[in-house]
Amino acid sequence: MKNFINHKNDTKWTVAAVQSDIGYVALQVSVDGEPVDVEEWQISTTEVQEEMTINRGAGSENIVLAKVGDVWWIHHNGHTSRVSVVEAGAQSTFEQSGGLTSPMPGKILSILSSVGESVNAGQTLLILEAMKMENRICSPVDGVVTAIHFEAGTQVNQGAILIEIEESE
Amino acid sequence: MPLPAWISEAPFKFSKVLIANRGEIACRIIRGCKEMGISTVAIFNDSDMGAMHVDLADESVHLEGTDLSTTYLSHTAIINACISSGADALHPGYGFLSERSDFAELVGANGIIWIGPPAKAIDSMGDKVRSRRLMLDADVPLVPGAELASGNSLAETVEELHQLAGEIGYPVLLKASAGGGGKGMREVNSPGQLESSYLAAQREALSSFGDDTVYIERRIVAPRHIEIQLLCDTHGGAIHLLERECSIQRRHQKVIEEAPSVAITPELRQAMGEAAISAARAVNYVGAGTVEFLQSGDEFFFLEMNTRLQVEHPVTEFITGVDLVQEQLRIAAGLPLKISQDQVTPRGWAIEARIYSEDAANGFLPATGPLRVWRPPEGPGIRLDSGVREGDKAGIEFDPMLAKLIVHASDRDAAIERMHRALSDFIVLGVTTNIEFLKDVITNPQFASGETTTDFIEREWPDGWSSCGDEKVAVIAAAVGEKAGLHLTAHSMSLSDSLDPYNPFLSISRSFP
Repeated sequence: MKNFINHKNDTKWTVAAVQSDIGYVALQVSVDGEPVDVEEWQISTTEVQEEMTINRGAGSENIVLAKVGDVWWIHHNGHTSRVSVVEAGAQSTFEQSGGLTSPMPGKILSILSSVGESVNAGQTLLILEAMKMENRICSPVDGVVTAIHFEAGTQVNQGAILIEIEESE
Repeated sequence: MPLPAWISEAPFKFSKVLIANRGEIACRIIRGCKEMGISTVAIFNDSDMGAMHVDLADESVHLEGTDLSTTYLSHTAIINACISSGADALHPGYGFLSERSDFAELVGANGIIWIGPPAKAIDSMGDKVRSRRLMLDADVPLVPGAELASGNSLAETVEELHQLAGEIGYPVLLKASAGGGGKGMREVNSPGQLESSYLAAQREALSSFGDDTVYIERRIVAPRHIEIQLLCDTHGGAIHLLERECSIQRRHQKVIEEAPSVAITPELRQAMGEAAISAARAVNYVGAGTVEFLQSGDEFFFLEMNTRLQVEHPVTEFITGVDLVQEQLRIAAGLPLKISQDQVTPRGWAIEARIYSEDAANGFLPATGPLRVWRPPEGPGIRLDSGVREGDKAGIEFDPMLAKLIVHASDRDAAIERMHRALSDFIVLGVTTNIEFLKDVITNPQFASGETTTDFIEREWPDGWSSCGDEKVAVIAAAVGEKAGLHLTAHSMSLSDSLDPYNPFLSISRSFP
């Protein structure tokens, strides 16, 4: 039994993958606590390491996948998804910190909010320069800025917590 | 080594071209040179160790450092690289130093042939105020606008801005005078936004082009971006190679380009072609160049002239059969154009999609990461101009454009179908790309019906775009991948290993794929 987070909609999944003589099957699948029935699905690995096939009752479909860090990148039917493996005991960074992380490495050009300020969802909090473009970093929620961790002019890494916000009730 | 036959009798002979660029365009130029029997020299900085363009070139020169100003933008370092490698010609590509007239002059002063327009033509077209005046004299239609006076205080500039914007009429665009490519460009819809937009445009202008002069002009609402490709030789010959439409843009950067355009009638094509040639003649242009117009109904306005090869040149190559890089080489050698205007006719339809490492679902923010899996599409009518391979990485150091996917088919509908198929087959894992977004653009009914104005993306996705994959399959696949231990072999390594160019295991896995 393992836990996963789907990056697209931040859904939390639990899956037990089991090997059988017909390939792999997934058992006890749930999303955000709700059970999901996928017991008819059969998955087979192939000789090519990044590929597997899935049969959902309508023939075999190809999947190409690779793991980078803790994230599985999955290509299926023209779509690419990212799924994180959650190790036991770990929490997602957003829940852990309530903070806003840098989506890419770059330089903070200017900070447009201050500690204690009430901000609205979508409000620009700071401007990050990367690849010669100015990118607005916006608040995901309505709330109050509780901490700002960098000054304008600082280089930041991807994933660095830039600003912490306490969400209003 | 004897010179290839085509250049042995030319007025200006050269045998070795240094490409002062990187990525896909450096690869494109190297391939063009190879086919003409000309040797190539690549340059690369510390961030580009082992990059594709370095491997493709016959020789390469390392420019130490990672800072662009001391490497790809350094006049001295690049001239020295020409001298040390014995290159007798230089191709600047696009971006970087391609539109720097002082560099073009320096190249010539060192006895190296500049594969591009004369410095004076670059200067005249690069200076928006001067080019407007020249275009007025040449009867080329213009969008109303003005350059802000330099040397004024902020308060004076803001006052001037308000006055000019009032005269021109909202909405207005503020853009870097020295610029291009959407950098330093801001749209302003009301007087209240003028000052903050001006400051942002000025900052981006300074950081991208080293010149903070800002230009203001009227924004033509829902226009199409139509550009005319030109070729001009040193003997006064000038032809246009039809139009390209580049209306599909995000943040004022082009995403999808096509040739020809659904909006251009034969009459309009002829009028725009003639206007473009007049524009080029007004600055005594030589080489490949592009005149950009905003088109709306049967009106068109001169936007600017790009005095270089364009990113989207392959769509023109597909429909005209002309190799623009090879024509550039012939023109630089002083040879006359091979074809005349009446030999230029459109064949079929071509579409280009720019593959960016960016998150289309998150405001098109640039994304970085390793290209763990990179499987471009194949098949008839498909061309990939790429600067990366599987195992490379998308870094923060350079532009996020990874490659260009270009398709050619008998008509527009067939080209759309082909692009849809090609994008569906394109698999990139390890870094987020805009491939799915491009697929949604290309299959959009408005795109199919040719409603491709420059506000297309904001109009079709006012609340942003998101993908619609089967998230259940993805999670199950990840769970099985984890259980089967697909990641626990030499092929899939940790992120830090895969980015280390000296990792011996990386070399081993590449030798035995």
